[in-house]
This record gives sequence, structure tokens and C-alpha cells, in this order.
Amino acid sequence: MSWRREVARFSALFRRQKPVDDLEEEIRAHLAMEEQENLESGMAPDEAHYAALHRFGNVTLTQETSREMWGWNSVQTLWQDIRYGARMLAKNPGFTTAAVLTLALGIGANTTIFSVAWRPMRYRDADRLLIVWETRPDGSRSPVSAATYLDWRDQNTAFEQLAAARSGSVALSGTPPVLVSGASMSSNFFDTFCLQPELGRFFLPSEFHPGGDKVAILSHEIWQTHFGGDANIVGKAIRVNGETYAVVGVAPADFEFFDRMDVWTPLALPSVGLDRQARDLLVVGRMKPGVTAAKAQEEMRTLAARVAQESPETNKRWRALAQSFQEALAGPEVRLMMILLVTTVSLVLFMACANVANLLLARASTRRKEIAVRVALGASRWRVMRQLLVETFFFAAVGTALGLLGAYAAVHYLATFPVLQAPGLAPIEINRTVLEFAAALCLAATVLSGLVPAWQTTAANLMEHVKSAGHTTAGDRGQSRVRHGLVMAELALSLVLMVVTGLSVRSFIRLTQVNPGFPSQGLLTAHLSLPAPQYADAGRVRSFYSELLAGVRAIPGVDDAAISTGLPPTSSEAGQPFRVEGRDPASPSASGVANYQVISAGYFHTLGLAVRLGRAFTEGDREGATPVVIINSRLAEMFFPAANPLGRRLLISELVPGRHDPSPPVAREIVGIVNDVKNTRLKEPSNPEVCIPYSQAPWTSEYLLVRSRSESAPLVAAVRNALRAVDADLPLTRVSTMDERLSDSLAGGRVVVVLMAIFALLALLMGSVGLYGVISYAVTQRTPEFALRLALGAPHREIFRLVANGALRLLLIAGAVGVPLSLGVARLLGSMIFGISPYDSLTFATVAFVLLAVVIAASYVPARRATKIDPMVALRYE
Amino acid sequence: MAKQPSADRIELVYGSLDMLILRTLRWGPTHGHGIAKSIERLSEETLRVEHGSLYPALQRLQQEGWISSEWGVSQNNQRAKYYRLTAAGRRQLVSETSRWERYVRAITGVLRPAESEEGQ
Repeated sequence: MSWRREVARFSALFRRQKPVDDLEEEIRAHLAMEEQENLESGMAPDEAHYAALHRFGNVTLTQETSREMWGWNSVQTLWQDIRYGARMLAKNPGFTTAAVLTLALGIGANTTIFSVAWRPMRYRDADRLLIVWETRPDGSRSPVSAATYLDWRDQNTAFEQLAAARSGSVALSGTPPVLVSGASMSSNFFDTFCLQPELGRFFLPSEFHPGGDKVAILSHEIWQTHFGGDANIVGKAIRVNGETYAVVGVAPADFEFFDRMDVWTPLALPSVGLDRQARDLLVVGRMKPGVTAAKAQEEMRTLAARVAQESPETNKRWRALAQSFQEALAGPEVRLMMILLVTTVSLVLFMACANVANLLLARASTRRKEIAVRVALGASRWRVMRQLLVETFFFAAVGTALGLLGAYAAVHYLATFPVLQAPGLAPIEINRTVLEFAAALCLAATVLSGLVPAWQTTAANLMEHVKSAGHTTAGDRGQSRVRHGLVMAELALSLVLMVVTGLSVRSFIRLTQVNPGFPSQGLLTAHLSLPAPQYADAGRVRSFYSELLAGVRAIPGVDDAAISTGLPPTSSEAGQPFRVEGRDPASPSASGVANYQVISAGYFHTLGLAVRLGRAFTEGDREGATPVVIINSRLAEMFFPAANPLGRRLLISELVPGRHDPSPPVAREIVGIVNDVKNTRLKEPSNPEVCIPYSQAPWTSEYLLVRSRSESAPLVAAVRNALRAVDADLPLTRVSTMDERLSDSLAGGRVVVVLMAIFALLALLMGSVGLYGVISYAVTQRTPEFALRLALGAPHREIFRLVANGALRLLLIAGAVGVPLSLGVARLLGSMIFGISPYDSLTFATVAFVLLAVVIAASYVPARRATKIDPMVALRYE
Repeated sequence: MAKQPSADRIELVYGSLDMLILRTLRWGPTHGHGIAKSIERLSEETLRVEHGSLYPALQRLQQEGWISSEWGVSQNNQRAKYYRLTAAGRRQLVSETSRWERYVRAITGVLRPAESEEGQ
């Protein structure tokens, strides 16, 4: 059919009556002319009339066929179907409610999870963005050195833009002064993200040279909060780290790069004299069109190898890793969790559709007669199926609307969870994509729930149903099989979901019980970052810490206070390389990477960690004395399995504040070994760790640790006072208790486990409802049989046993499928399960018990109903 | 011309009604009755065309834009709808006619050898 006809048919919809009248007139004229001709050729008037009609053919058929040409038919009948469907649904409110609620639950849950899981990055073509790291000989990622970055930038062919940024803390003056994240960026940084400034401009090329670089771009957020959204901010001067900068522009809102950077300054890179070991740049690139990530990785690997060849003393066995931006920000565990959530919630939707299909099948048997009559009157099978599908669509549409309401509330709630936020991703919200997804789900639910019942209901041998009294016939058995099959599938799926959730819940509980390695109550933590210009001198840093610690220790109620660069349960990603003195450099236990901690003497005491061997740091370990280091047990067992490490020396390159060129490695004597604390994720064994006294290698970014029995609010105030006494402009950030830190590290897992538990319960609910429906219907079918048994003297519990047996058989078959399936899935989850075996018997036993209870409960009510029926009434009804 | 007995009339091959209508209209605008009569006459009454089946076909052709219609007055002073061929209709007629002729040649080609065999 050509498009021209389609257009004509469509416009005909709007002028319905005129063509009908026209055609009638035409036909009348035609018949009149034929009659006239017949008369002229000699027929009698009667004969002429009938001959004309005979020659014409079937007038009604002509009119109907013409009407079909006009194409009203499908639309008219569709409208009829819709009106009929609405009437049917209104007549059965209970049924309608059940179906609508079931679908609402399924669709609502799926929409919620979709809005959490499907969050494309906000940048243009974000999948073209890659983060490029250097990789250490042991494979871990590292930021990139400026010299290497420049080589990459000039030599690569895969990237349209390759930009770099160096991040750090920045003290912004004002009332009050704030410590924010800032970054210096290369000239093409904003171009890589295809951004335009919100106010003012981005940097000019001239500003990337020393002298012209005292300019800054503010983030949208800091412009609003700290500068009051001042419309004239461009051109104003601000004080950054004690120096004066001029604001030249404001970045667009919601721009995040690993973190929200509030102050951007130009990164001036001299072209010579750069040290390849000062690795502090984050490198991001936008691939050229047509380049794949794999190709980009290949090229970076080649470039890195070239650098390794040119400067082996700094870069031997260092390589490069190009990682998708999204993955770099999120992490592999997040992906697994999302997959788990999405799978679970999709299964819930399938079960909802199966339940609705069951409901429809059950109701269809009561409409047999009506449908048989329609078919007899000439309705095609397709026509009847379409009408049934329209009814199903009603359920789905109303269910979707309800589900969206629920999803809206749920999404608002979830959006408040900080652990679900991720930099650079779209926020969790109901937006157009989510709505489109919900609409697609509505259609899918219609087809999934409605197709099989519609097909079954309009099956052949309908005349049997017109003749029969409406009770069980041969066709019913086939339908029963389908319904039982559906319920068994639901039960099997519920089983799998409950097992998986049970394992996750137990695993999570185990995780919360992990001993971090020290007593965590009564510990206050906070973070300090000493800005560069004032604290460029090592002596100044040292005296700051000793004054601060003295002041905090003097607070009444404080047992001890200390500083450290990292706190359990996580430390920084960057490990510091070290070598064992006196070992053959080629052997694997001669060098390694360790967590680098700069601590005060009281750190182990404050933390509550015992020094297993040797001693802790003392006042004697100060600047000028023998360089010392304390290692943790893990390092000792990894690198000194047989020997006593005390007295041996490690060569460690140190971090020196304010300097980007390397300090030569310092040989430090091992004076003590401490027990391990969890210095990476709670579920993984500790990393090796080296601890250095701050008096010998001061560092400007430290955590403050305070052990006290006091209440935290007054304690925090007292600590702030002590800090103000030493440096009035320095803010105390990230204040929390150690217990809160440990709990926060599990926050992500907690959310996922709770969500999964909710969905598993939903699935169980759906399975139970489905089971109840099927058993209830089966009991109704068998009522005459039960009535007969009762009349013959069977005790009530006999009936109950019969009903329960039927249900148990369903459960057993479901279990035969579900148990192996859940064992398989549990094995797949492998790494995500912590502390228990994937075949954990307690979980499986609990699930079996719950399902058994459900079966018994679902059998009880219908069976009771069956026993209440007066046998004589039931038999008479037959 | 004697009318053929109805038993000897042949059903139209599907789809050829359109072609016949267009052909008929080539000689000028006519109303539905006139088209029916023309087809009967020109085919020497071999083709069985129920008059009623013309009208849906006329609707279709009008939707495709190959014919246009307007009300007029017939010979016996009755209001009748007159149909005429459009330019697009003319082109369609040419293409359908050539397709039909190729079809006929093909079938004839297959049938002919059988005839000559029978002759032997």
C-alpha cells in the first residue's frame, strides 16, 4: 500500500459521513441507469429492476468493501475494543486491582533501578574520553609525570586532545577561609571536555607562562556558595594559598573531574628540566573519531615503552594504561553490584507478568462462552486476541502510572544517599530516558502477560465450550498445565533470588564484623592540609605538628593524639616503592611497593595497635638522627619470611612537600614491626606498610587522630580551638569518628544488600500470590470431588492433605530446577561473597523452610474453604 | 451482439480490474455505470465483472491519485460522479499495460510448444 493511500485513508477519518452518502447516491444512480437500459432493450419494468440489481452484485458488500478502502475499520474497531475493555475492567474491580498492583510493583521497581543504573556521563560523547595512567612494574596505576605527559602529548596519534591536571588542596581566603580542591590544568583541558565557560572565558595561551599565570577559573558551585553568585566576579581578585589571583571565568555547573575542583589555575610546564619521577598529573584524552579504545591502549603502550627505553633509570618496566573515564571513576565492584541489582529486579518483573498471565488465564475460562459466540459471528482470531490484548494493555498502563508514582518517591529517597552519587554521572532522577524506559516496559509487560492467555483463550474447539456447562473440559487441562508451569517457574526464580539475597546478607553481616585490627571506639578523626606557600619549609611543618599535638593532648579527657597520612580502612591508592638494602636487585623480594605513612610518635598508642617486635618511635627519632622506619607484619612476612627484619635497612624515596623533583632514596633502619590494620578494603588482606616519623620526613597532608572518652561535639570544638591557637586560617575538615569511617566504607554494599532484600521479598510475595491463585483455582475445580469425599465421611484433614500434596508437588518440581540453578549462580558470584561458602547450608535451609511455610499457608485457606462447603450443595451444582 | 451465457464468462485475474478501468478512462471521463458498460462491450462480454466490484476499485484508484472525480449530470439528467484519468494515472496505465503484455508473452511462450506437439 503506497504512502499516498495511507495519507488519503488518514484524512478520510475526519470526514466520515460524506463519502458514505456520496457512495449511496452513486450506487443509486448506477442502478437507475442500468434499469433504464434494460427497459430500453425491452424488459418488463419489474424484470428490468431486478436484472439491474442482479448485474450489480451485492450492494451491501460493495458498501462495506468501499468502507474498508477508506480505512476506518481498524480505528473504529480499536476504539470499540478500548471501550469494551474499560467496561470489563470496571465490572471486576478485585481482579483489576490485583493485576494492576502486581504490574505496578514490577514496573515501578524496574524503573527505579533503571534510573540508578543507567546514568550516562554528562560530558559530550563521554565514551570517547579515556584516562591514561602510568603503571608501575607491579601493575598498579600511578599518576603521570609531566615529562612523560609532554612526550605522550607530542607523539601520540590516537587522541584529538590529551590534557593533564595536577590537583591539590587550595586555601581560599574569605570569611571563613575554606579549604577546597583545586587543580592546575593544561591549556587544552576544557577543550577535551568540549565545555564552554559559564561566565567570562577560559585561559589564554599567554597565561601558561610563568608571570602570566596568576589567573583562576572558579567552579560554578564555589562561585555560588563562597562568592555569593556575584555577577561581577570576573576580573575580581581573590587570595589563593596566600597569593593574589584574578578571576577570569566561571566553569559550567556540575563539572567534576574525579572530584569537584573549585579553583582552576593554569599549569605552566617548562619544556626542559622536568623530572620523570615526579608523577603527579592526571591525564585525560579524547580519542579521535574512528579510534577505538583498544587502539588507543596499543599506542600508549608503545609510547610508554619508548619512554622506558629512553630513560631506563626512571621508567624501566613502567607502562601505560588507558582506561575509560567512566570505569576509572566508578570501579569494577560497582559494575558487579549494578548487574546484580538489575538482574534481580528484572526477574521480579517477569514474575509479575507471569502472575498477571495466570490471572488472565484463570479469568479466561469464565469468558469462554462469550468468545465462542464472537468467533461464531465471524470475528477473526486476531480480532478477539487484539481485544484481549487491549484489556491487558489497560492493566499495564495503569500499573505503569502507579509504578511511576512509587518510583518517583523511591528515586527521591535514593538520590539522597551520598554513596550512590558518582562524580560526572547524571544525577539519579526521573528524566525523559527513564520515562521512555517505563513506556517500553509497559508494552513489554502487555505482551509478556497477555500474549499466551490471549492465544490460549482463542484456541480452536471453542464450540465445545458453548455446548458444555462451563466446567472442566479437555481444553482446560492444557491451560492448567500452562498455569502450573508458570507458577513453578516463579517458585524456582523466587528460590534463586532468595538464595542469592540470603548469601549477600550473610556475607555483608560478616563484613561488618571484620576486626579492623584495633579498637575503633572513642577515636575522633579529622583531616588537615597545609597549603604550600606558608608551609614550604620542612621546619615550619614540623613545628606546626608538634605544637598542635601538644595542644590537643592538653585537652582534658584526651588520652592521646597523633597524626598519620592515611587512616584505616582505606589508604591512598598510591604506594611508594622501596628496596631492601643488601639484596640482589634482580630477586623479586628485593623491591616492592608499600603504603607510605608519615606518623607521629604516639600514633600506634593512639590507635591502640601493639608493636609486635622492636619499638615505637620516640622523641629521639628526630631530624638529624638515624633515619628509621617501622614496618607492618605483612611487609615482614612478604619480604623477610625467614630472617629477623630488625636492623635491616630499606631504601625509600620520600615525598617532600613543595618539591616535584625526587629526593634520593633514604636508607632507613627497621626498628619495629606492628600488627596489621585494615589499610585497604575491609574484605582484603592488608597491604605492606612503611611508617616514617614526621620529624624526619614531614608531609603537609595528614589525618589527626584523637583518642578520648569525651562526647564528640565538645571534643571537636576543643580540637578546633587548639588548631586555631596554632594557625587561625587553617580549617579542620572531614571530621568524623573512626566507627563512622568504618561504617561508611560499607555504605555502598549496605544499600545494595537492602535493595536486594526488598526485591527478593517482592519476588517471594509474587510467587506466593501466584501459588495461591493456582491452588485456589484447582480447589474450585475439584470441589465436587471433595464434596463427595466429605459426604463419604473423609475427615477435614484428608482434604487438606490432598490440597497440600498438590502444592508440594509443584514446589518439589520448582525446587528440582531452582536448587541447581541457585548453586550455579552462587558459584558465579564467587568473589562478592565474603566469609561464607557459596553453598552455605544455613541460607539454603532457611530458604527451603520459608518456601515450605508459604506452600502450607497457600494451601490452608483454599482447603479450609473446600471443607466448609455443604456437600449436598456442591453435588447439586454439578 | 448476443450476450454470452454467464457460465462462459471468465473471472478477472486479480489486479487487472484497475488496469481495465484506467484504460477505459483513457477515452474520456465517464461515470461508474459507463465504465462497467465499456468493459463489458469491449471484451465482447467475455469478462465477468460485477458492477458492484467497480466501486471499491474506483475508491482505491482515487486514493492512489490515478483518477480524480467530480459530480456532474448524466445523459438522463441524473446526478452522477464522473471519473477522469490524471497524468499520474496515464503513466501508471502505460507501465501496467507493458507489464501485462510481457506476462502474456511469457505464458504464451510456455504454452506454444505444447500446441505444436499436439499438432503432430
